[in-house]
Amino acid sequence: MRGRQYIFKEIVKYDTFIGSSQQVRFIVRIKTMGSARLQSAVLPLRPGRVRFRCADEHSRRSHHKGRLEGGPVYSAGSIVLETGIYEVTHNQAHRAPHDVVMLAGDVFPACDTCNTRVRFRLVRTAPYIFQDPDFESQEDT
Amino acid sequence: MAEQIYKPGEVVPKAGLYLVLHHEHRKNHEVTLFKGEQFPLCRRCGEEVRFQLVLMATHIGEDADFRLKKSRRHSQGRH
Repeated sequence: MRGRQYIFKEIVKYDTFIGSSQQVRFIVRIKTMGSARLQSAVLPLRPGRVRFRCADEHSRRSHHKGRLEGGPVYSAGSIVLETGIYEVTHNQAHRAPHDVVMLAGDVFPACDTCNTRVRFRLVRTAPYIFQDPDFESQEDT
Repeated sequence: MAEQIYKPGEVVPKAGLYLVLHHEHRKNHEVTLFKGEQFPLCRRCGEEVRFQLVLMATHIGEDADFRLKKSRRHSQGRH
């Protein structure tokens, strides 16, 4: 019975270029209880539908290791709820986004150039060291 | 390249998040420190504690676009 023969399906994708157009070949390998059976099919796809992995994708990802993606965004004048690193995005891109450290209880300030249109996105949190039980009350020593 | 390890008493070279490496009594954890502060002693492992920079950033009060509006706490003489 066909259903009993399947253990799992493994799809292997090969990218090949034929002239200026691209063809993607899928080979479906079906493993059975006793032996392996190989089926293959050639499926032409439009290049626009195929996602290529950038050669340095891994290195770009590791550069952002530990950063919150889509963290909460705050405006100037709001109270800082969590100590940590915030990414500052300026209005009309008068300046590239950059990171700053903020302390809980402080107020997100306005920018000298874009005023209250500046935004702060939480990137990573960590308590201020002197609020940690192992280090607190040493601040003034 | 491995990040430098700092000992208690040394001056914090850059503001940011630091990994705290305790001597056995507690797992590693992250804290925020500001440039110019001193790495403190741990109450439990004392001078055995170590610090390693994880993520660097400028304190908002030292940034050119915000310099005139130093954040409340840091302008109250904490260093």
